[in-house]
Amino acid sequence: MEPSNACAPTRSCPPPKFVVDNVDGDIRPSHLEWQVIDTPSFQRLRKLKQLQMGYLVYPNATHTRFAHSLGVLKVMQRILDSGVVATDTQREDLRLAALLHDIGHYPYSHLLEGVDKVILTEERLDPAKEKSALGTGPAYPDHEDVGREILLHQPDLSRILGRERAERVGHLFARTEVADQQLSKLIHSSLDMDRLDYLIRDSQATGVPYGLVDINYLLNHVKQSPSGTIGISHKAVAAAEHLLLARSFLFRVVCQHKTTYGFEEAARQLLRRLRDRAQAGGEGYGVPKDGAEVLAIARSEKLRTFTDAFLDDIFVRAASSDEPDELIKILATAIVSRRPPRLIWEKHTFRKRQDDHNDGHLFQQECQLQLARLAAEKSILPGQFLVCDLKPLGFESRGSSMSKAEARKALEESEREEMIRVFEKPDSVEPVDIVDIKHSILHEIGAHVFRSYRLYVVHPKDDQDALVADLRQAVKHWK
Amino acid sequence: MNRRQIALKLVLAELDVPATMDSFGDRLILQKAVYLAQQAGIPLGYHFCWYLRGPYSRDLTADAYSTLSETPAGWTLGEALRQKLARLSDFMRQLKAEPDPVKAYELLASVLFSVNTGQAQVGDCGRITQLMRAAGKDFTQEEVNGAVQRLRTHSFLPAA
Repeated sequence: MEPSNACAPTRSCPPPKFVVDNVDGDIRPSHLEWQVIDTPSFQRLRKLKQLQMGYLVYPNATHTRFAHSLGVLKVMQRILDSGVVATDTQREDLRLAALLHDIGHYPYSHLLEGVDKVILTEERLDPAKEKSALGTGPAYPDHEDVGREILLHQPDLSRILGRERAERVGHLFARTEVADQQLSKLIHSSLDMDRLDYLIRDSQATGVPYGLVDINYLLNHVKQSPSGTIGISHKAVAAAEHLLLARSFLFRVVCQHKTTYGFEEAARQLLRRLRDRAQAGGEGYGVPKDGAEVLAIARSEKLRTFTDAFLDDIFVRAASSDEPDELIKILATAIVSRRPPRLIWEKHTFRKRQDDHNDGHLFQQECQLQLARLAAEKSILPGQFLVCDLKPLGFESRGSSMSKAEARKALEESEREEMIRVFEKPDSVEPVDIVDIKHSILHEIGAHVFRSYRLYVVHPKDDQDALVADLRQAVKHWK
Repeated sequence: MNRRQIALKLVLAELDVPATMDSFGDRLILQKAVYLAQQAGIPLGYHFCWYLRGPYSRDLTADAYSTLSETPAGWTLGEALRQKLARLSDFMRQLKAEPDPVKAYELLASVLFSVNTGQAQVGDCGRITQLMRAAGKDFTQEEVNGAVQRLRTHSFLPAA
């Protein structure tokens, strides 16, 4: 029999304890949720920083996926309390899915998860040289797939949840349940509310105020349509606009901060090199060779050590004097010794998404024409340059990368759950996308994306100012 | 453009699936073709959710838009993967020749998804049909039977 949530938090049966959270106030997990929280698999989230290498710039940005997961549980509770129609089992499952939605995150989150996407500098610089776009082994799986694997195969969680519920909850947060349309809408639109927690949490931790959105007002104006879609009342349009602008600002200022991003790009280049070396039979210091190895970790006791410290140890080993590859050592030393990659050149654009391809081509061409020569002149390795084409930041469009027009064209009803929906009038039956509300700021700027192109140099020594000045001079004419 | 976006562009070219996003049918075929390719062992690494029309990847949509106008230089897929893609490409040509290719892709990808995510057993076509109906699809049991057979023939599912 499936373990039951015997003591749901009610007045007559109060939970034995609660969490006092600096963002969400009192969080009251149910008895079953406390059992989940107390498992080693869940406690691992205490050792995964939410903002990856953000702490190297913002000293207090050491908050974790653990705190965020509890916060998302609270957000889900408030959504469910707003009159959402769902069965008791669906409510319990949705709460568990909210709590467990980040259970599969990798060490330093997206840094390691995205290693298959990384282009090495030398691959960028030599267009004529043949190189493989795909490895032969399975790609690293998405953290949601890793999460499902953990839920189904880690004994601590599967014992508490039972096989059936573990499968259901795994399907919910990975959004893989072949569900009826109403439930599907409820899942997608409610679970996407997790940004309400991380925006405020990240803002408070960094001291960057842009993410301080009016979470109470938004959650107090959540409504559900007869077809199951969750949206906000027309009264909360301004709060929703603030949320979307805040997300863009926070990404730009915190996640794409020049120093944080430089460290993270150095780490991505390092991890891809170590992974490739491990695949070729060399020393990878434990970087998983492929997706199969990641899933094996997710199923085993090794999961408990698959934390930020797992990568910290790899960085230290790669920076040691025993490391034979000079470039690997330089990249690792920069991270371990906190020698930030230095920004040599940078360009920002803010334009309609479909108009911005040319900037990327120009940047790529300049790098291909000049960086190998500059590296030779300055006696540095080409791989010490970090060529960065940053992810475009949009406002309200899928993946922050599509314009409003593209999004509208692309997204049939089945593809739109992630967008913020608004019940435009008091008597509106179904909500519309916020970009479709003519008086919304998003109606005008939703088609635009902010984008940055950057060139860094990594140099682990202290006396790099002269080199950096020379390089800046050499590329100052780039358009 | 990142390495996976480059790989996506190359895979679509090998499969002869147009990288166009103009109509809903184009976009549905692109989604389902990449899902089927991944299940056949092309390691693109996209996470597919279940949306109303079957398996769907948000990252794939974003990447498809990012890669449409760019042509990578110097990148290849390697001989082993190209051979695998050549076999898949034959299969997808058959789908393209069907009277309703969009439905054919949706049916095959949806049936495969329901089995590969453990929500139905391979041989349990009744359960698969039931799931599809609950999800609002009008596939008949005969169509589901045919899809399972076809997926078996092309090694997406183990033989009976």
